[in-house]
Parts: sequence; structure tokens; C-alpha cells
Amino acid sequence: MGGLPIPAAPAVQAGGLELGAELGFAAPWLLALLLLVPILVWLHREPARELATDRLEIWRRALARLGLRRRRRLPPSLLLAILALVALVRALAGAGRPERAGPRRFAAVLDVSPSMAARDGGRTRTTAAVAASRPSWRGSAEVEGVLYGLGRERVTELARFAAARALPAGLRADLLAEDAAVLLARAERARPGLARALADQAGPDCAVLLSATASEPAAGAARDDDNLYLRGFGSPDARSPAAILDASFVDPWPAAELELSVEAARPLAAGARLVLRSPVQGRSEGFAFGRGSGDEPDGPMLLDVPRAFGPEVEARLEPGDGFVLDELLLLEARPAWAPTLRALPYDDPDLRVLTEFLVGELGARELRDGTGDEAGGLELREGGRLEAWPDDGRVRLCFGTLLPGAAAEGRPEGPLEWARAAPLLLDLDLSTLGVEEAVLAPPLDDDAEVLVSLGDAPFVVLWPEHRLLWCGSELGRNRLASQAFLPLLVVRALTRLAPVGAPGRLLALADPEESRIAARTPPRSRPTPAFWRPRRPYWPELVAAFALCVLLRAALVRR
Amino acid sequence: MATAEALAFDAMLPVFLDLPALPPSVDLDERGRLHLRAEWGDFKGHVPYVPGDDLRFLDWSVLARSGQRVSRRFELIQHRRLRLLVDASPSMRLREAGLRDLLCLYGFLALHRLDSVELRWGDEPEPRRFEDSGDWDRLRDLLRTLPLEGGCPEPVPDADRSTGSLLVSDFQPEDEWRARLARHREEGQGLLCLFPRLGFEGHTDRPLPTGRRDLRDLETGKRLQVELGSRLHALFVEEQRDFEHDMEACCRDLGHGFLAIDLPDDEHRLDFEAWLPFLTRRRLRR
Repeated sequence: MGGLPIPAAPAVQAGGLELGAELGFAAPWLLALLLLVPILVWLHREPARELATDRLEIWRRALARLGLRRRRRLPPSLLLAILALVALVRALAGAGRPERAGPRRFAAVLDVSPSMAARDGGRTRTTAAVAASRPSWRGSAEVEGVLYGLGRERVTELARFAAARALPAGLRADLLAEDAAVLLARAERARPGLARALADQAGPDCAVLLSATASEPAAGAARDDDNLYLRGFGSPDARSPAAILDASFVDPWPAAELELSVEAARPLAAGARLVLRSPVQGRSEGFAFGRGSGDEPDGPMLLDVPRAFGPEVEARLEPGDGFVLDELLLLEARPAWAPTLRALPYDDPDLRVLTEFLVGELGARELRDGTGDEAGGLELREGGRLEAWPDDGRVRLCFGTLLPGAAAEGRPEGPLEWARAAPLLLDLDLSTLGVEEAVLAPPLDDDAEVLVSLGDAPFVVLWPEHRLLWCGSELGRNRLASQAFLPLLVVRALTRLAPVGAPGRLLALADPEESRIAARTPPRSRPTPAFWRPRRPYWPELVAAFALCVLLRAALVRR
Repeated sequence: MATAEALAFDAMLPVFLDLPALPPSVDLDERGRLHLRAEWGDFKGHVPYVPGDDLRFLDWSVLARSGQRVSRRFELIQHRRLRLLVDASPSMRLREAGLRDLLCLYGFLALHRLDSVELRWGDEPEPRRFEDSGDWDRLRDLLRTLPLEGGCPEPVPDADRSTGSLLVSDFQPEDEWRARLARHREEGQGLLCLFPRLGFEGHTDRPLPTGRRDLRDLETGKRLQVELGSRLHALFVEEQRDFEHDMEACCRDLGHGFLAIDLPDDEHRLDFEAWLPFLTRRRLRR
């Protein structure tokens, strides 16, 4: 803080007697000269001279018609003489506006954290803070000051703070004062810290005006008796717009829509919508909150968002949003997976039904020769043997295939046992399957999930490490191909095995503390002080007035 | 003691003899609501019409019948005697110089053009009579020296229809004068009320002192402090005109005539044309 350019205090001028709030005299005893005014009036007196008449009644009637205008007026020459005398005496007595005590310098510290971009009643808190602080430096021409955090002459560009969210440290060179130090208090703790340090360093002669979010009083930054003045901002009442505190996606792939869970700062009113805007696609659409909003008013709001909306959207709550400028959601949902599909052996009639089902369901492209294999493709295999665990990134659905490490001899026996608590088997009708012939599974590691067992031997295994769903029976045996649960089981397994994307999150308000303090009730703001104002003599104006009165009176008398 | 200005004025008076001018009282027949035929008297015959004669006396029937212009002649009721009633109250001192000049003018013309002058000065009980031009000096001395400290004459017309009465006054206080004139309504014939007006009383462009003034009524001694200025002067002139209109209507109702004429200021006092408004342009037959 030692390098902050706090302006030097102006020189002190000698003051005099103060008469009233705006007028004082350096030599008040000279005001005694105003006693000359009655003498002036006496010198200008005009005795009523007698005038004989024989028509007194007619004069009386004329005078009655004159009405109020018969009231004696001060002769213009006498009036000008009095004004000239008063102006001269006041100039001699050193009339002037007295000095006003108060801080002679100020430093305005503006919180530019994301929470200050919240809108309380239409304009952002930053705009309101600058507007509220403006009289502090615009109305005191004699008071020198600096502005930290925002350019003094660039107030109109405040709206561009919306773009500043993308900057890592909140530094916007084009928004900073040309003649002031550059110090943006970004971190929450730095704001009161900066203001406190600045106030201590500058001394009682400098007022430090801190405009920040509502969390600052908790820091104990401002006391009533020091030179630090806080103006807090927050949501003052329940009518304030809500704000998105958190948002995350649930991706029920391969469903066409994503499920977005939104946590707001306060319960949303009925009919509230979330408007998503995709800057990339130039698309904007509003969504009504549905599931979850009625059952748990205070809980997260849920809505369905088309998968094709992504990958990056701006979110806005309607009606009213406290963070219009800040919500930026990354819609990193899993893309619609349309893999290449290879069925081995190519012409196996038992694989044909399942192959055609997956081609239609996933939009997969079937390969019928040895070319066109891609990483991340899908492979259906019946029978045969995998010599080694492949590392080609393909997802494999293997039926009756011998896996590496599995014994070729021996047949498992015993009753079928289903892991009915497994999500992949939820609500599936498994009672129609009977197994008479199967191959053995290799030894399993911890990553493998056994869905069905045949006696002690695994029969259906989900192996995410190897991106594999394995079944101990070929499709053509044990009437497996005709089982009703088969396509649902395959699709559910693919949701676990397909390439996985990161869940969507709020990007700008990743700091939950910043989000929560933005929604707090503002503290009591301490009024800004009356700044120091130097004494200003009025003698030039008074001398000019004196000369003007003398000239006018001379012209009047001459005429 | 006549002043130099008075002597100069009196020396100017013979100029008026060259003009067909008479005191306006000779026109009394033509003023007010009098019965002209009765005033004119009985028909006595015709005389040749002379240009300038009153067209009302032109006999239209003779003109239509014969084409001759003749004037009807009556047993004349011509005011061949001027009966001068002068308000001698102190308030008249305000217009004393012009008033005395005016009275001298009327007296001079009456003695030289009419038969006689009867002067009733203030509330004097008996009138003063002057029979011919030989009495001019005596009349002039009186008109120049009689004091303005008396009262007001009663405007009693003379029973003689050949007498034209001319009352010169400021008619203030107004109510007293109205009552005074009304008292003689039945007797009223041939009375002309003349108010010799000062210039500033009838015109806003005539000079008037400005500033604080203590107005003092010369007759009652009452006072009134005013701030004289153009606005008050304009209102005073309006009130004065209203007063004159009221007096004219009042006199008309009573069978009198009323005139308000500006007295010449000092600059035009010796200009005979400035006095012509006080005279009537008329030539009397003898």
C-alpha cells in the first residue's frame, strides 16, 4: 500500500468570523459602517413642500384610485446609493464564503468482484456505486481524490464489465483512471483490507469511500469514528431478483434432452423461466421449470434442455435476475454418440437383429469389411476368442466369447442369480431366461461388475475398464437373442461404456461464497462526509456591484 | 395696484373690439333646455340675411317660396346686459391672475358691445352696476383690486330676460355648488356657469410639480400629503374630467349652461388668440 498516490493536502487559508453557513467576514467590525445607511436615507430625505389647491376632493379621489401604488417607494437613486454602500462595506469587511471543515482528500475504492455486477433494480451495483460516489468528487472542486478500481471519466463504460468476467485478474486497463493508481480489489478479503490500509495510511484528513458488496461489515472494515466510509450493496428485500447460485447437468444419455438442476438464491416465483442463450449458435430459448420445483420449493429447480443447445450457454432467470452478466454455463454433456459398428462374424444371423437395432437406435454406421475401424467404435462379437485385452478404445459387446485368461474347458453349472439391485437391471423381466450351455469367464478384478451369475461363475459382466459387456452365452443359444430385456440391457450398458464428458457447471460463479454474499441484505451505509471547502472571498463581485450602482445612480441623477 | 402684467393685458383689450366676439353669456338662448321660441320673443318681421347670421333665424318658407334669404326678426330678447357673478372665495386665489384678466376682458367687451355690466362680487348683498364705456376704468380697478376672500354669490338669475348671467367659479366644494344651483332651478334661465381651468387640471402634458407635496385646500385648510407623479396626475385629470361632465349634466338638468375652459398660461397670457375660447363669435344687432 505504500505506493498509493494519495494527493497532497491543499494549503490552509486563514478564516474569519462566520455569520451563517455561507457568509463570513474577515474584519467584521467594519460592518459598523453599515450604520451610515440611515444617515444616507436622512440625507436623501425630501420634505413635503406645500402646494395650494382648490380641488382637494378630486385629488383625494385620484389618490384612492391609485390604491396600493400610493405607497411610498424608495427613490431609485437612494436605493442605488444604499446598495453601493452595502456592497462597499461588505467588501471592506472581507465578506466571503467561510471555510468548511472536512476531509480534504478522498480515495474511492470500488469493489469490482463479480457480485458487484448483480442488478438491484435494473442497474448493476457497480453503476449504482459510481453514481452514488459521484457527488463526492464532482461536487468538491477543491478536494483532490483518486479512484481505485474504475476510471473517473469512463463511467459510461461500466456495462462492459460484463466482458471483464473473462479476464483472469479483473484488470481492465481501459476502465482505469488515467491519473490514478491502478489497484483492483478482486479478492473478497482484499477489499476491506485495501480500504483499511488506505484509510490508515492517508490519515484522518482523507476520506476513504468503499463501495462493496454486503459482506464487508462482517470484516469490520468501517467504524463510525474513523475516516473509512462504507456503502454496502446487496439484495434489500424479497422483491429483489433471484440469482443462480449453482447449476449442474444430469445427462440421461442417450435421451435427447439434458436435465439441468438450478439452485437459486431465493425461491423462484411461479412461472419463472430460465432463458438460455448460446452465443455460438446465436440461439436463445426460455424453459419453464418443471420437475422438482413444486415438491421442494427450496430445493433445486429442474428443467429439460435440448442436448443440441450446447456446448456453452449464458443463463438468465426471468423475471428478474441478479446475475445477468455472470451466469455462463458450460454445457459439456455427452454428444450424441454415433459410432461405427462391426459385427463379428459379419454374416452371423444371430447378431443381425441386435446389429440392426443398434444401427437404428444410435445412428451407428455398420462396417462390413476390414476397413474403416475407428477408435471409439462399437463391436459386437459372438463366439470366438479374444487373445489379449485390446487397447483400441472400442466398446465391445461379447456373447459366448472366450476372454483372455479364461479357461476353454469346463462349463459352469447352477441356477441363474441376478443382481437385482444393479441399476442396469432395474425393472427388467429376467424370468424367461434359462441357461443350459455357457463359457467360463476369466478371473475378474474389482472394476468388473457381475450382473448375472450361473452358479458360482459369472454369466453377465460389465467391465468398464475394458469397455466391455460380456455374456457367457452366444445369442443363438439358450434363446438369448429372443429375450425382451436384451436391447434395454445393451443400451443401458452402453450408457456406462460410451465416452464420458465432464458434467456441466456454472463457470463464472464457481466461487460459491461470492454467490452467497451477493444475495445478502445490504448493511447500513454510513453517509459520506461533507468535504473540506476553502474560504472564498467575495470582494471582486462586491466591488463590481459597487461600481455598477455608482454608475447607474450617476446616470439616473443626470437624467 | 395694477401690476405691469395687468396693464399690458388691459392695453391689449381693444384688439378684441376688432373681432366679432362677445362674452358667452349672450349665447345663453342656445344653451340648456330653454324654450327658444319663448326666449326669442314675438315675431316682428324679416330682415335681409347676412352671411354669418344664425341659420336658425333664416326663414325657410320665404326661401322656398321666393328664393330670398331673409331672417326672421323677433322682438329681441338679447342679453344686452352682462350680469357677472364672481366666486370670491379664497380658493379662487389659485387662478387669480388669469381670473382677473378674464373678468376684465368680459367687462371691457360688455361695456363696449353691450349696454351695461352688473357685477356681483362674492356674497356682496348689492350688485355694482356700470352703464357705459365711461365706467371702464372704474370697473377695471375693481376687478383688479377686489379681494378674493369673500364667499360665493347666489346664482339667482335676473328676472329681466335681457340679462345674461355669467357665473365664474371653481365650483368647489362640488356638493355645495350642486345644492346651490339646484335651489334656483325654477328661476333658472340665462345662467352660464364658467370654470376657468388651469392647464395641468385638464391636460397631463402640462407641467405639474413632482415629489412629495402637502396639498392644502385654500378654502377649508384641509391637507393631503401626496407623492406627485405622472400616474397620479393622469388619474387627477381623469377625475377632473368626470367632475366637469357631471357638472355639465347637472347644469343642463337645471336649465343652465356650463363651460370649462383652460386659462392661458403666463407665456400666452398676452396672446389674444389664447383668450378666444372664452368668447363667442357673434355680432349683435342694435
